[in-house]
Amino acid sequence: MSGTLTWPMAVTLDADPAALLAGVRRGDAAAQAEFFERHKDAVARQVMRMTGDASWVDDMVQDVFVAAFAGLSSFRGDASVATWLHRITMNKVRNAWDAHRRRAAREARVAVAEPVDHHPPDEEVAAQQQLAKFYAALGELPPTYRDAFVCRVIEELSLEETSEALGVAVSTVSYRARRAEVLLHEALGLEVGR
Amino acid sequence: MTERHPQFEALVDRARRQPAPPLTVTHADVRRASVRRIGWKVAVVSLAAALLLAIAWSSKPVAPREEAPPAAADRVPGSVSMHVIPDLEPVASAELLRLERGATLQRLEPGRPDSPTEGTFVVRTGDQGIALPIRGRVLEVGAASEVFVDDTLTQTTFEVRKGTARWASAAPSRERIPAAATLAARAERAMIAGERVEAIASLRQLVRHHPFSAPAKGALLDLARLEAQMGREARSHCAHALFLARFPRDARAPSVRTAYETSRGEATKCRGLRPMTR
Repeated sequence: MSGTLTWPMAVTLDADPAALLAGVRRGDAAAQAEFFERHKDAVARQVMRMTGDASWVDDMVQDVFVAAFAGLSSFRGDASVATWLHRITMNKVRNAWDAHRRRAAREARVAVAEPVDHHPPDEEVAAQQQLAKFYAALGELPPTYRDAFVCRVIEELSLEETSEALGVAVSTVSYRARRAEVLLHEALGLEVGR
Repeated sequence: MTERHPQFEALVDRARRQPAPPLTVTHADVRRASVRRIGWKVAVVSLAAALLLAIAWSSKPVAPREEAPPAAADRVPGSVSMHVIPDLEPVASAELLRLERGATLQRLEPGRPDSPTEGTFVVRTGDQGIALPIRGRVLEVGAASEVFVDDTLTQTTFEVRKGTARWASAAPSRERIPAAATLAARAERAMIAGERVEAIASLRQLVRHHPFSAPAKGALLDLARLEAQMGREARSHCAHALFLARFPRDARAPSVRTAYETSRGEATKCRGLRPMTR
């Protein structure tokens, strides 16, 4: 880069996260684009891990970044940007999950039984179906248990990180995650401790 | 951590390793969505501000031209500018509203079968009562006035549509309630002048606010007579019923009972002075 550039953002974006954040806070389009490019894949992966549903990813990523740009002024830098985005994503997915569950409950009341497919599924299809069942069971868990399980088991956050993210005591996190596992085993017809 | 079933462990592992699908959302999409969100926020804030301004404007007091406003203590500060007057209870049938200039009362539902199709309000200015007919469905108040909404005359509910209405006293303060003797005298003057509407309004106010006073006994009988003269047998019937309920040992009770039993009121039941039509 030339030292004669009058727009310092172009120089500092790649190297300096603080400058990038400052640019995003100012509403600078280039800075926001850079911020988006840096973090979008991590957010997308997190959404996918949490929901298991690829059709949610685009919308959720968009929602997360809209919220992030709107709320960046309140980001104090206590945690890393990645942790902060992780928390926003988790909240967005939790909200979407709740809305989805309410919608699904409404639809279930008027649903007509679908014809059963008698063709034996191949291994990959069976695995996909099993994973879909897993996520369906996860979606049916009480939200507090589900959140603890997702953070601890799927996202592999530490007890302390989960405690901080969910705003509950470490002991509560531990209990909820364990309870979620038991409930999930039951929902999937699996025995715990085998 | 709970000892997991191997199949469960495999599912968790699979969930963790799920690749994200290729993203189609771009920074431009996010920016557009952000702008929309800000637009919505601005719209909501603007709407809220406009509403607040409208409320503030509509509750701005207008200087009365024909009479002084009531004492501030009788007003309910911060009253909203739109009121639905509840279906009035028989013993609380007379309600006072203070209306600012330009307020209107809108009839919300048709009157009951035994009510006149055109009601009347008694608009009080000082001690004088002026009966105003309802033209069509709306009464327009030309000046700040206390409007005496009497369901004897209207038998319906009303809503203030515009302008400012304050309950001068939803349950009027004791200071504002004329004495029983005053109300009786006011009714007497109105009866002598042949002003039945105003006489009935005063009598109902007397019955409502001084229910067991000596003048209230005569007021109930006068009410029954005036209502019958106006062809409202059901109301006359209810006035007799209320007299019997309140003063069963009065010397006039036997004759009142005879009148009550022989009256052809449409109502079989009354709530206070109000006939119940079903």
